[in-house]
Amino acid sequence: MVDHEAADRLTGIFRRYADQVHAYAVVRAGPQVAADVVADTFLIAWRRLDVVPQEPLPWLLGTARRVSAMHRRTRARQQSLVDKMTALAATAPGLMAERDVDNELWRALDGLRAREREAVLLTSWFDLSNAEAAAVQGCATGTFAARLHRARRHLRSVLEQRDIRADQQMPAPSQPTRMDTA
Amino acid sequence: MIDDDQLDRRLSAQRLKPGWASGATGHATMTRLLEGGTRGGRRGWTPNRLLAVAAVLVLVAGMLGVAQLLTGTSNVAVPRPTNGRTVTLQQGGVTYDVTKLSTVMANTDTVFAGRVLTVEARDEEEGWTTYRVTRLQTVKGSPAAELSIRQHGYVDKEGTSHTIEGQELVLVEGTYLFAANFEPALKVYTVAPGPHAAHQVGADQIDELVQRYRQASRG
Repeated sequence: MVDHEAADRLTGIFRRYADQVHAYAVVRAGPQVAADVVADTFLIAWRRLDVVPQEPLPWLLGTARRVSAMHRRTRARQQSLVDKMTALAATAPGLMAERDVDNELWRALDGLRAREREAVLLTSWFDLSNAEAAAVQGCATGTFAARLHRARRHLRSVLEQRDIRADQQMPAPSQPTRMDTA
Repeated sequence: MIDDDQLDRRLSAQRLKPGWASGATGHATMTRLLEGGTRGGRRGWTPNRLLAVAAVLVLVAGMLGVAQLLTGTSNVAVPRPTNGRTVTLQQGGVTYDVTKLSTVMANTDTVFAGRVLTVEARDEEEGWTTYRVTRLQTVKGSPAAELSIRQHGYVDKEGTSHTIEGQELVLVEGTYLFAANFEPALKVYTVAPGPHAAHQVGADQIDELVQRYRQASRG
């Protein structure tokens, strides 16, 4: 393959998948370093274009995962997901409006183990199959399926608990007044 | 109650809107890549990059030195002393009876007796410890003479053991009957859950236990 063909292919991959790699990097490493993660991921893709598969998203996310790990060691490791999404909404409202950030959901996701959280996002955000998502996480498909099942169960349970608590904190409905009943 | 559909809707609603790649940052990233990145090559050696590499080399050399002092070996991760406290890690998704040896044998691809040489890596975030093990006898599969095997659980910095229910963390220099599955993507074996998958054994009991595991593997 000559270089301009390679450049065309990389450009095509970038146009189609860079948004998804960026979204993944925001969650994994934080919005401050997400652009660096995308740049490093596509630099690796550029250098190793011969091994990038025809359906490149799982490969790109797997690479971004390793790149993110390097960035997370140096920055923002302790940043919660709510903080990451709020920071993103503050700096890039076109990608996520502040009023749209579902704080309860991100807090609940924060409570999961890292791999469980990622399993949920890989399938719900990027529409990966279990086999593709397992390749990103470097595990067997069966292991991934069990992890995803467990993660979704935990997530539902935590969200339900929060809903129950929220309901309990709501004031009791007031007695109907004469006008109400009229 | 939150059902699967509701959960999916909430998760989907949090997807980032497209536009980063076509925006100014995305465009600049792509341009830099095509103009500056040498395909198949390496990035240039800037002074900062040289300094960073030198710092990493010094750090790694230091870690190796400390590990060598503590363990007498040349490995990076150091076994941690325990304080006697144990925390049980959550583990789900096991669909077979881990207390029954024949079932464990049927659900693992590699079974062998091995001696633990050292702790090779520790991942507290994911909850794994990886050990370097030398194989003594093979029951099932074709493990290499020396291999990496990881076990769910770890000892934290305070010395507290985090383990899965029914299985203790293996000890360096201990001899075990391991029942594991090979993870080709990671090039590592993973110890199966349950007491039979990491069964400590004395040197004089290896033959007897290997025989028992072989019989169990034949069903």
